[in-house]
Amino acid sequence: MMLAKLLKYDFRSMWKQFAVVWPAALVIGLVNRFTLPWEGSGVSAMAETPTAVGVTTVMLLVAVLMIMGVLALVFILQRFYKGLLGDEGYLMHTLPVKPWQLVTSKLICAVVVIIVSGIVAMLALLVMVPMDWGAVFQSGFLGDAIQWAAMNLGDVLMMVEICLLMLEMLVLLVLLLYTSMAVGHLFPRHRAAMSVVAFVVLDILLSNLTSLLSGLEVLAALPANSQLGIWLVILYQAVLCAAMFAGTTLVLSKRLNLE
Amino acid sequence: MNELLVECRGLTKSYGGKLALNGVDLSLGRGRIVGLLGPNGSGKTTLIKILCGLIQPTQGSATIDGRMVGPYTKSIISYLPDRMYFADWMRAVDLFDLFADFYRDFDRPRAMAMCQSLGVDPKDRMKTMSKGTKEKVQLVLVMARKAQLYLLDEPIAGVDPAARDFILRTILTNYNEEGTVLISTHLIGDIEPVLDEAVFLKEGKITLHDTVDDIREKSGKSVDALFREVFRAQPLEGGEF
Repeated sequence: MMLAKLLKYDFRSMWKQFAVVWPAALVIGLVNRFTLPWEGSGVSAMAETPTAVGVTTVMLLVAVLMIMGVLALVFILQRFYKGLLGDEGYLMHTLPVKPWQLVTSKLICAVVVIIVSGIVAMLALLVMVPMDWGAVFQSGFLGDAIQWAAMNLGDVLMMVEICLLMLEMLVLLVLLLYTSMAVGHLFPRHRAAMSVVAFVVLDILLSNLTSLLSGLEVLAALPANSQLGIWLVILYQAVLCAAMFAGTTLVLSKRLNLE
Repeated sequence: MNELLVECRGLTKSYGGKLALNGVDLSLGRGRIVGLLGPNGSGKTTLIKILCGLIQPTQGSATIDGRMVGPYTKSIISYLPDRMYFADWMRAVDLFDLFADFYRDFDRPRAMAMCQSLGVDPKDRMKTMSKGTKEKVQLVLVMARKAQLYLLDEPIAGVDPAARDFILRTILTNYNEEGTVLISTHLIGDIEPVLDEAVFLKEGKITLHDTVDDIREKSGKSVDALFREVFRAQPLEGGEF
């Protein structure tokens, strides 16, 4: 219940941040459809060299997509650092909620920002190019993907595994940032700088741990793409996520020092 | 319901070896207005932040209504910090929504009425408000709750005497009389007339905790005069500063 209330305000904050850039990316993508000299369908179907207007709108789209990426990163960092460890923390930490609920709300919102930004970027590129959707569905990458999906429809498990792996990777990335900021908060001074150091150290530790585990003979003996192998990776990532979530929550509940 | 609202035992907080609080024992009952009095750096803010759960004590314990600091104690504490805690995108009405969602004791119609009487438009964005108006909004949020414990950290510091009267009047006319108000300040003269009890905090230690009437009777002085005597800075020997 309290988590739902926290999410309500985190999503409001998210919308305030992206209310302009998400629609802008889609609109500029659509504008490019008319300013570029498309002929027929598909990316290769450019009739002639783009005009100055066309070049400008393409550059504008690239700029907006880059801004969207930067905004997403800033949002994820700022909502946690400023919202929980900065002045806004004076409000958030005096609400009658548990620290894990505060972290979970920020985490869900951050993951949603990444996913929606990714979808918006893909849609912006899709609306830019005039597509013959009938042909697209029958050929090319999308056609192959649809064919593959139709052939493997029975293999729902594989789809679930892929989605789970990708979701875990996103969660892990966000939690790595959160844990770094939480570790930085343990220091009395230069907390921002110590957060960067913590990020680098944690990243190196994770890479080494992953290399170490993947080099284990028992795992190397597993056949490629085996179900057991995939689920071991899912489990490994889940354990890492749980450890980082627990570490971050522990700092917020036992070592919080809003000075 | 516990008879004692606040109970601190051996509360100690150090920042990198420097003691901000040094073994504080404090008990506060209900229905009192208590002044937490001390010069800058005496540990007032640290004590209040520990009661709110914003910092963790190095040693000792603090309970509110018999419970350790946590979601329950936060639900009965109304805290006015010494800084602004708003997100840029928010308007006062958004904050009222937030408080209504999280605190059962938040009285939204009263908050709106207080805004009107304080001349604040609650639909303005916080970002566009002056510092004084933001402080008023924060005061409205805190005083529109029927809390059991109000923790007000320097509510009258940094404002002119007319504004001090105005803030104190707002507090006195709106607080829950069954609850306790703990006001930290070093401006004793302004709040002495409204205090029931006074706590003197010096270098992280409580040097005096008594009712205002008893302090006056025992010392033969006003709390303000006693404070000035206790906390008077000593000039360097052989010279003035």
